[in-house]
Amino acid sequence: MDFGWKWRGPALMIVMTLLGYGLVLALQASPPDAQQGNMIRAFYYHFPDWIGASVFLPLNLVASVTYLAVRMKRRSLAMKADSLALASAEMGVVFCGLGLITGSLWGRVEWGIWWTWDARLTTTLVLWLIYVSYLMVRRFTSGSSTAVLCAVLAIFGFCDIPIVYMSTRWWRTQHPAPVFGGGEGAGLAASMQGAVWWNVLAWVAWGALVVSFRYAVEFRRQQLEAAEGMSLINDREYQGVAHD
Amino acid sequence: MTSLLMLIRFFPYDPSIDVPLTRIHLPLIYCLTWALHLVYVGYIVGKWRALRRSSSQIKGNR
Repeated sequence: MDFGWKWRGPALMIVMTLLGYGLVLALQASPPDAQQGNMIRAFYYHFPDWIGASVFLPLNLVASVTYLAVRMKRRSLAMKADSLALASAEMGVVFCGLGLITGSLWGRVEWGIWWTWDARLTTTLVLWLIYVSYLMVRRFTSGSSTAVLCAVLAIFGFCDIPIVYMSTRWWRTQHPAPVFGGGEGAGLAASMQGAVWWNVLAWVAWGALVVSFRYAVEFRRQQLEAAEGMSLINDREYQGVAHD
Repeated sequence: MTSLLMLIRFFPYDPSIDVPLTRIHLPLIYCLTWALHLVYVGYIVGKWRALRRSSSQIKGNR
């Protein structure tokens, strides 16, 4: 089985280099904050988690809608779309879960609490739970309707993403306003820009590489399952003919 | 233990500007991020190996 090792090997080397340099920038090359001290360095890993979730969960939506649109007409494309939907949902759940964990660890230091039921945190937890339920449906149900069910669930799940983003504007929250488009006072200090963007690039590249690998494994699994199903049907038809 | 101490030293900590929790929570954020990503990659590798096994079994049956 060829899983594209020829390009994935060098790509992995590049991504690991990006991540390694990102780690050095985040921990050694950027200055501490006047208010938060060295704890500001949590941002360099917390922010890419949300960018990762904002890339891979919408990708799950695109793949799911594509699956629903072509499932009757183009089986191969539908299989690819469904595999991509699974891979991107898993990666999105990992990033979203990490965003919640790192945010909680950071919040304990800065706010003195692990968690608060404010709008931003609650809608984010709901988002994570929706996509966890999406993965559980995929894992624990079988049959031809599973992929359709999951694709529909993905559309509903995506509806929570704009609510998460807008939550700090619509309601008063403990969580600060978004770094970008968050109104007056929002934005990044010049001394943080390099470390932030480098880590965003590195983690999104890592996510894309992992998603491509997961996609290849899932697509191959579905191909094998389909081939097995076809060979069973052919065997039965052959036995039926032989019996007649 | 020594390697753990080395790891903690890699994370900047200045008692004059940092609260004591920073010493634990900052390394935890970085280590958990890496750990969870690596666990997920391990899960995919496990799936890939299982797929290889079942694929070669199907070929053998034919």
